[in-house]
Amino acid sequence: MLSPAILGPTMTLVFPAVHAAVATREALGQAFFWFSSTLLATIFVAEIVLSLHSPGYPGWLTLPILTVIWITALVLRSASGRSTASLIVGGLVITASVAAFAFTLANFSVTEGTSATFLLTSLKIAVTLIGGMIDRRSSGAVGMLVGYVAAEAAVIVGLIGSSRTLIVDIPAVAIALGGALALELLVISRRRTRQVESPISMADAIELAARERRVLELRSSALVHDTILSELATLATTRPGPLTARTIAQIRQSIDLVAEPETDTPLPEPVALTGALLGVIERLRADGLEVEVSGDLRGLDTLDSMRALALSQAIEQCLVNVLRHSGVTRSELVVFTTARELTAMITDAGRGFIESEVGDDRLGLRNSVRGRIASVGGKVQLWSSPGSGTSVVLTVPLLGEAT
Amino acid sequence: MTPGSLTPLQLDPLGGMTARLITVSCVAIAVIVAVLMSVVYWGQVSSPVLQVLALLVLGGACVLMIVSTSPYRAPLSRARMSIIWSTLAVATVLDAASQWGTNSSQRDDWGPIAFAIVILMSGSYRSAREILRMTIGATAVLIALAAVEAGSLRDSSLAQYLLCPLIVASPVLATGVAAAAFSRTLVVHLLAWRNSAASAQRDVIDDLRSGLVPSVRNERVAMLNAEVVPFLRRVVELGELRAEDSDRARELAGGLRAVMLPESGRNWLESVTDEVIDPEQLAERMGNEQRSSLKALLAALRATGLAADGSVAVRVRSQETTAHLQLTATISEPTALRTALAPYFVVARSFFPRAALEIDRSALMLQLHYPLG
Repeated sequence: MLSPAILGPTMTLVFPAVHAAVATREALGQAFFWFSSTLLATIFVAEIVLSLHSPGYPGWLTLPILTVIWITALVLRSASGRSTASLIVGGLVITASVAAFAFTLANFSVTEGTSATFLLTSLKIAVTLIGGMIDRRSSGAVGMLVGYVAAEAAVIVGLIGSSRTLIVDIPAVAIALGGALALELLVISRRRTRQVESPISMADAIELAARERRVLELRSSALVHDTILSELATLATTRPGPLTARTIAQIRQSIDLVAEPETDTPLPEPVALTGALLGVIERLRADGLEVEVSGDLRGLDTLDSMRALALSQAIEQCLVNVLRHSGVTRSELVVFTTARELTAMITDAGRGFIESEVGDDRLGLRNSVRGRIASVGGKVQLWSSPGSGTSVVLTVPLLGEAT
Repeated sequence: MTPGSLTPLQLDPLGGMTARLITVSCVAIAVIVAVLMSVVYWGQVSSPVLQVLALLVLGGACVLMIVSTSPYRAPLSRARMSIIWSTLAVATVLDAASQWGTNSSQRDDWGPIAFAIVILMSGSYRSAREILRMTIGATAVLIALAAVEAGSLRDSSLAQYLLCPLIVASPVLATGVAAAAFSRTLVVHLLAWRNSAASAQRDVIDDLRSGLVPSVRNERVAMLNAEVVPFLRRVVELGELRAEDSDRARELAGGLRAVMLPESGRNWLESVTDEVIDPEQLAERMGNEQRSSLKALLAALRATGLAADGSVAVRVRSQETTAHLQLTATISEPTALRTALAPYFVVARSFFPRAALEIDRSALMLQLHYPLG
């Protein structure tokens, strides 16, 4: 059996830490790009508004500068913009563009006070976030800080010689420092939270292995019940004396069947199973049980082999139960298909029983019917009471993965 | 479902816990920024009552955000997120109203800034489409507010008047767009991982089966070869049944049933708890992920050493088409236990339609509901 350590990485309950780190970094990169793009667009619109408001305003100068910054960010976001050379060239282009924007604003613009501060602060924040976006080697914190420093330096250079006073840009500083801190916190938080990945994957792997073993054991148990236990029950009620050739052949077949691994040979096609089930019905008729079939037994052909096999074996066991325990010689099998599932109903008008009063050691209904149908995602409903017969409804989904 | 309509939490429940620390930090920062700016620019406030009310409403939105993102509560719902955004919009409007006629510049208003900081982590909890819708709504409200307020600014130039809507709306607009991009990218990655993991798991199951099949077959053959098969072979070779053979067949059948019974009748919960009451065998009808996540949580509970020996009891009962599992345990050090179990509970909760974990001073109660399909 494979160890949980081997199974672990393939489990699907928890997003693995290694994938989470890459995905979060990528998502943050996209968030930074769209944040800075929105800010650049805002500045762009503001510049158009100001140009319309002041005919002398040099929008024809600042708008191309903003466009260059955005296109450079777009290139740096793409796969081709991830080389060191691209980063250096792109960084220089953006820094120079910020300086040019500040210079234009300081020397050709009539914009004053709040408006100028808003434009420059927004631009610095946009460049800070572009820095966070292109820093793919750390959490992004270093890139944000470098981006802020470059933007601030570029603005200072751009404003040299102008009458504007330099003040500490509190919003831009706060976003650079706060953003960098948040990115580092995110790494710490992720590391702490994802510690549970290993135990949860381990539990999932153990459960998967246990589940597979349980299914195989259930099938094995059902096989033993339908073959060997059935032969022993026949012998227990047979009078001493020579055995019929049919009984001997049946016992030989049962001995051979339990010696085979269940899934070593490929599963038979559903069509073959349908034929086999019809053969079983004929055999039971020979044993004295009249089975009236209605609906479309060929509906089994629409199931996959695993489901068809489980259903045909469960139907067979239900009919065997009627023959052995109901006290009547007539039974009805109805098969019908809907868009999502196939249903088989086996009814008799025999003596009936109370399921909870059936001994724990009677495995026919539990393993050979309920167990088999449950193992392929189906369900079993049973109606029976003493003196009023029994109806068993087996429902199997047409789609979805069988165990 | 498209990547834009799925939330990251639906695919990765632990992501919410990772984001929780930053979310709490953002909320705290938003309150600090709002209070500081309110104090620094108090001179621009014309109605102290409205200003205090604005801060209280902001506080309410922040408390709701913190409570709603707790790992012990249900994942942050669309309704709750809408309430949080609406409350933040109300706080922003109240902040503007408190400075009516005395505001020098909207750039000094804390409303849009606090709004943007609180919604910064929305992308970890809600879908891109939903965030974009809320962003558009909030932006429209803020632009309308700025347009109305611009005329009342104390020192308004025409340029500032024209720029007001941009200044007021840009923090929330940029943050909302960024949060939506974050959410969508994360969902795309999560879907890709799910697909590749499911495919890898199918391969693992095939390998697992090929190893288990001979093992199960050998166990069966060993069990039958001891007495049953030799008996049947003898009967077949003889071609007739002797007087004592019927009793022997009955005896062997009884023995075989007794051997097969313990495994087939065993409830899997018995291997992970101390006491199981499940008369309807409902534990068997739990889904695969539900079972794995519950087992992981119980293993974590054992690993802490904080559950009293022999005290972990589970009762499962049905209620119409739903199974209701209730697990109780006697515990010590509830705070440490709460911290240790939180991520396991978050994962388990994502696979059960309803889940609740309560831990008090000496007892733990886990309640899980799942459909009986």
